[in-house]
Amino acid sequence: MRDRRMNRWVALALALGLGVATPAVAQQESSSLKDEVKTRLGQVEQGLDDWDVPGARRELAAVEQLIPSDVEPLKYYQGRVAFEEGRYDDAVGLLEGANIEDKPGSYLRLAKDTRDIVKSHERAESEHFIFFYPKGKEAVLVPYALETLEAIHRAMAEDLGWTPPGGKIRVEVVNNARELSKVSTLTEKQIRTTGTIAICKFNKLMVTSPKAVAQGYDWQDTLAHEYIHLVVSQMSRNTVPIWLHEGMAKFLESRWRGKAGLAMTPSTLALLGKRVKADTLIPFEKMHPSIALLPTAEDAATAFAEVFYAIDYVHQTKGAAGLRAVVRELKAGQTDRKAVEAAMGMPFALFEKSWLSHIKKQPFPSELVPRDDRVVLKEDAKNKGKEDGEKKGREISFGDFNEVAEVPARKFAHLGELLRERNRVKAAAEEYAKAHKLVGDKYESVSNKYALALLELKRLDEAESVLRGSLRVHPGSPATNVHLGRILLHRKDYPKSKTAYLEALASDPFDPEIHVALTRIHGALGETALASRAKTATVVLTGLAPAEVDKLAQQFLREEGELSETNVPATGGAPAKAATPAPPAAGPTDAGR
Amino acid sequence: MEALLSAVRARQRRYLWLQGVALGFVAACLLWVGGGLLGLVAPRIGGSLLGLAVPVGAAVACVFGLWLARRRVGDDLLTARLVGQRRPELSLDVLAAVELRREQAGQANGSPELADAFLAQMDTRVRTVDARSVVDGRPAQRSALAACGVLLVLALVLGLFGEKWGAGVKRILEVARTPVAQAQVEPITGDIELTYRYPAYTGLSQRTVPGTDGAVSAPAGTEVVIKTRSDRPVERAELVINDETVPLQVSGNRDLEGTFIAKKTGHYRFVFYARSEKPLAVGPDVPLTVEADKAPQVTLMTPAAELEVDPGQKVTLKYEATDDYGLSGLSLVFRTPGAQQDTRVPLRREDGRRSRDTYTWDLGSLKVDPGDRITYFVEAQDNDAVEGSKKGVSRTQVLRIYSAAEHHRAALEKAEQLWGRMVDHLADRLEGPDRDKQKDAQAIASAASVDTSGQQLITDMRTLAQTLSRERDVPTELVSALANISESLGSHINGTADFRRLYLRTQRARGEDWGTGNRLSGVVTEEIAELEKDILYLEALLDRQKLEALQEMGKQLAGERRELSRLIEQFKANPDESARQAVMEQIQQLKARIQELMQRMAEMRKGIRDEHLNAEALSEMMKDQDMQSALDDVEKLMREGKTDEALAKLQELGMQMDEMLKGLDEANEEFGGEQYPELAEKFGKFMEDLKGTVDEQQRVAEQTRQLRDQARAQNKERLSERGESIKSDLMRKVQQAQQSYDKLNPEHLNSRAARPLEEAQSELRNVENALKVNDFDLAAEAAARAEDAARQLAGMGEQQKQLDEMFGNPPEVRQQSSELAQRLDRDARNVQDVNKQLQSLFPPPGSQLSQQEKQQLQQLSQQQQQLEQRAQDLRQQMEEMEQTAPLFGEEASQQMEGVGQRMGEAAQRMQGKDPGRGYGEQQAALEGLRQFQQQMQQGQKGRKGGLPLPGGMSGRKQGNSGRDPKDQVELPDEDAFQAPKEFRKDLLDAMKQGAPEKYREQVKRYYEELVK
Repeated sequence: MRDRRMNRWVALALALGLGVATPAVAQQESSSLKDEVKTRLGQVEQGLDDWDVPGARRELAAVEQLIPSDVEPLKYYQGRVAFEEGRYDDAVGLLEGANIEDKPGSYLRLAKDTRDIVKSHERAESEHFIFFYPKGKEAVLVPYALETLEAIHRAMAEDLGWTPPGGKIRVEVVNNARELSKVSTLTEKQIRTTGTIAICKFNKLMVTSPKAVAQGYDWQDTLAHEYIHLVVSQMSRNTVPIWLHEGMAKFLESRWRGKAGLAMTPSTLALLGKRVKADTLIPFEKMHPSIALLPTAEDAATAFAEVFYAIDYVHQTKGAAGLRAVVRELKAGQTDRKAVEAAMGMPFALFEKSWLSHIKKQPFPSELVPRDDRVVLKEDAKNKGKEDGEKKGREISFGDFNEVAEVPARKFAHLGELLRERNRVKAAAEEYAKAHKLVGDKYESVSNKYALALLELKRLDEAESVLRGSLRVHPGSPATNVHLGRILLHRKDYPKSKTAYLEALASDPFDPEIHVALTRIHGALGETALASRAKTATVVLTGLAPAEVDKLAQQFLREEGELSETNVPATGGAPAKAATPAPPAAGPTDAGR
Repeated sequence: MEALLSAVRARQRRYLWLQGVALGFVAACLLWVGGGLLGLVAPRIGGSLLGLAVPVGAAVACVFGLWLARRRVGDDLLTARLVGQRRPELSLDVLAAVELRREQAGQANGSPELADAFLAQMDTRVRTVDARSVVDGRPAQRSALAACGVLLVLALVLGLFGEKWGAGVKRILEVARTPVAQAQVEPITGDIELTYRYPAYTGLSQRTVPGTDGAVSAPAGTEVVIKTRSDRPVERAELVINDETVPLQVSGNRDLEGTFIAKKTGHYRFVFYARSEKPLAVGPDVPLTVEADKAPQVTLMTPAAELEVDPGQKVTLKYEATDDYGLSGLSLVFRTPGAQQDTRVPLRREDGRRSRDTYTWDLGSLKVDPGDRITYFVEAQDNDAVEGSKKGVSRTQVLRIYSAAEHHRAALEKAEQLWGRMVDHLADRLEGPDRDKQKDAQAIASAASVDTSGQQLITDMRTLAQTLSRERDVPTELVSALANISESLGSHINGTADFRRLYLRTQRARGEDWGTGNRLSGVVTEEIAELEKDILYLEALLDRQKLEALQEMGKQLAGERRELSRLIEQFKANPDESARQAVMEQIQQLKARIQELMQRMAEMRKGIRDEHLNAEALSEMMKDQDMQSALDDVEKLMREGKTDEALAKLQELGMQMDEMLKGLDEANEEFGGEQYPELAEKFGKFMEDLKGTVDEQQRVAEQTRQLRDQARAQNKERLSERGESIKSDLMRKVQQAQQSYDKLNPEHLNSRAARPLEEAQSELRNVENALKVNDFDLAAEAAARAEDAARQLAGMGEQQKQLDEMFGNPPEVRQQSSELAQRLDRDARNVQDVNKQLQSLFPPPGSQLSQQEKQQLQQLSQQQQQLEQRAQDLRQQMEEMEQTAPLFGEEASQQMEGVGQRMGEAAQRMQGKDPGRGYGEQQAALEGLRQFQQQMQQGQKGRKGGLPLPGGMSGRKQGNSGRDPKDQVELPDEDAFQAPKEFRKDLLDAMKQGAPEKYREQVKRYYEELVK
């Protein structure tokens, strides 16, 4: 969210100020020196705008040779560069030295806030990344996050042919929306209304801890998504328009775990299907200049989905080279239309036609699936679930059914929960079955509650069928995956159980049950290093001693009663496990880049 | 040989001692145990036995050890003989040797050498003899064994009766410690005359008691004058009262007189002196009893120990206080919540020992809040001027200030309990075997218990609905819903029970179910659907109630805040310490109340299960920390004297509270709309249609009335002439019928007979009144209605008669019902006749109408038919809504059906060109519609949208006037707390029989007290 004009104005003002502030120098130096300083500072500014921090640094080094170090404009840019490089203390000192006002939105305030937020963060490094995270349970994220980031790093090097220059990429985890607001310059209101959960800006990735999100979110895909934004911004020198940016990031975000294009959610697909059927797709002209300007949120979601398929179409036709070509053309200064035309070798009108026809070929779900791409922050959640540290227990809650639009189904589900609350599981299962019959796999809450009742009745096959049905509509749902994982683990189907639990972990990394289960699964599969990693995470999340974790893992799910009611302890502010299944935040809106 | 003899003797003695000791020990033990046990009944004898135990033991030992030893052991000769007996090989040689030795010592008659040799030989021979073989140890052994045996027996006895033995010994010891009664001291005076001069406060007059033994009994402070005569001439005499000496006046050497004040209980005695200082004689101790002045006794007779009252109500207290000598003060003592000390109100008191009165306590002057508890009691003080006045109090009672919220909460809790049972019942049905495809008869039979529990649930629900309907401030919609549910669900449960019985009977009789099993499944499925519907709706209602309770609490908080603001303003205007103190106290109270309300709100919120109610968000608004900290700030600012800032802060808090209340209002307004969107919509439409129907009916009725009035005006004169001629006949018939109905007891027919009877009586009165003023129109209308009611009664009479015959009831019963049926039939015909005659006054319907009017009436008739159709539509809508929620119930359905019938009737009348009757029917329909509309509107409590609520139906409304807490103030008759007549008579008789002289006055007083 950079305001280029503003920065240029500042540069100009500073350049003029240079003359005023240092009259002696101005008098002594030739006009060529002034021009050079002005030009170079402009290039510093440009470098920063173009996400070329090494370039900006180089230019700045040259300026440092030309003017005294106490010149305010120099300090200002030094501060800016220091901030982008993650040297926040330096940045604060330099910006203060440049007499920048400490007010909301100023670089000085930003640097101070960022410094304060990350000063007590822990850090972990991999080959290409430095991961900063708050002390506490976020330690659990480290191995998985670095694994994800390195994987997407490799994939992007392969697909787009770009590896970020200038050292390791900083990834900063913040505790909540308030902190994200402080480090990103977005207002808290903007963050809440747009559901922004992560941002790629200032040459780094900033993500909110999954603990701040009521039902967790797909944080690993999100890390990958933000990294793709970084790559595309750097590679194109920040010339890619938002619609293409988002399209590429969304399309490629699943590359860390496999092929591209896996991130499209059934709900978005269903929405797209509805618009196709109603012939109300958003034409390209309307997306221009910004999708955000579309009149409704549904229009915007449709547009993003269309863009996803635009990239999918390019990728299908031309492969990754097509994507590289688009970026290259844009970097070369072409418009988005021209860039696409050049990459695809066809007129844009034809591309648009083919693209829309490509969309129409997609396997749309037969009915509309509720939108699940909204991120609900924990403090905004109606049903906050259990408090941190609380055991999952029987997972009784009623608020989950508020998403069920069909009144009769909601009532049956409510009755089911009433009966389950009174420990009348057989009766509850019948009520859930009625609800499930009415709405099918449409709602995770109904499916999961039904499955839990079936688990309690030891009707495992039926429960598995319900859960798998739900996952088809709501892939990646942590609660559904956990429940499925329990069945599979109980049957000692370790590989499938592992997949289910890892899926759950990709959205809800702080559920201790997942790590206990993984400790047992990795152990059973002989994956000692992974078992040890899961065990460490369990220790962090449960506060148990390692020996106790071993014991817990060995005993875990040996009893059938645990299938519906696990009691893995959680301490130290372990995440509030969603009291009931809920939609994963499949596509967090990353408002800033 | 001497050694042998000596050894034998020593052994003999030892054995004897042994025997003696054993037997002595046994004897001592026997006495010891026996004495102890005997001590229980005869402590002195027991004690003697105990005392004898050791000496007897010792004596026995000595007998053996000394006396027997002397006799049995004896001298050498005796011993030598014994040795000879025991050792035959020695024979009498030992004896010979002894004798020989004795002789040697004296005069030897034989050869000394031979004797020496014999003695030497004997020495040698006895050397091998062991004394043990000579002395028989068996008696000693036997004695020891016997002793052991006895000891064992004694040990057993002690084991069994150890406690008794212990008690016996204890008693012996006690008796032993009791000093032997001193020798009785003989009286030294003749009869004593006592004169009591009581303290003034007792109100007792002086009393002289002659010829006493001197025992004094009087209240403390009584002056006792004592007069007596000594048994010998004395110089001087004195009384020693509890070690204090009081001189006596001696006259004529024999007559003694003295005075003392009774201060404390004890004894006194007479002491006589001659000339010397040494007492001549000392009399026995005479008891001196000082009667304690008891504390007053207070009884609060009414009201009950705990009573609920309205704020500002007057409560009548009936109290009684008594004291043995008199009361000096009486007061009502009470304490209101938060008050630091008791408040006293002086009560009226009668002079004397008993005070009995009533006091009307006006609570209006007390500052109390609903739910507060006032504790109170009556305190009395006596007039004891000697030891100081004593207090007596009644039991502490409680007045509970009526709190609508508490009643509301209690009703809610009860309803919620029933709701929980409904959920359990649903679970039972769902999990039960009734819907299984392959039915197991045994399982089906055992599931009958679910029917029973369900029926009990319905009974409880009905009872609760009835109970709540009699109370005030309970949510009417909840009461209506409970009643509706108990009707609808009750019929389903009964249906299930019936089909279960049918299934089981068929199964047992024929071995297969003949389709009854499927039918059973069907009815259970229907019951489940009904249960599901009812559970959800009742839950929604309960949630709504909780939300309302939250709202109420929020309003309370806001009210308290306003009060605080007012106090601060007051303080600002007039800053003095008392105002500041009031503010501070209010802050503390407000803080405590906020704390309490927050806690209650949190509990309430937890209980709301609605998916849509964003209770979390509401509770966020109510975060107590915020309010508490805001109040802390206010308190701090007040302490610092910053009133303006405190007010500003309070203003801020007020805005916060308003926000919260607004949120709650909105939540309440919208509540249920999302849960029951379709129902809300249907209900909205229904109410609109109802309103439209009412309006339309009114319009049509108005037009009909105009037509009727026109026709009446034309008929008026003619009617008057003809009516006058038959008036007296009609009056007679009407009065005859009236008299007959007045004698009728509806209970002889059936429970539904009361209403038509009442209607018939009322309408006949109307006919009579109308005839009196020559209003034949009105008389005809009333007669028509009276005929309907009379016909109904006649039908009921006939029905009852048939029932009695069918059930073969006793002949007298049948006779009675047959006569009643005949009578009712006769009455009905009578009324019919009256009606016919009145109707005959009028020309045939429509004959007076012009063609245009007829056409107009025809149109109105069509419109009325359409209205009937609309009423049917409304009823259908009601049925549809009933599928979702128990909004209406049977009564409402019948009400709407009745409206439809009236409308149809009206249309028919108008079709027959009879605008008069048509209008009457229209009016009835309109009345029914309006009543229904009003009930439904009242049920919604002025809300539009949201959860539709059941309307309060008429039957319930009648009993819904609410119980007045004043009703619970018991004011029994004056006689209620008096002794029964018989008892009083007995007492009076007893009084007549008299009492010993010296007790006469006391007995009289006692009886007087009893019969008061």
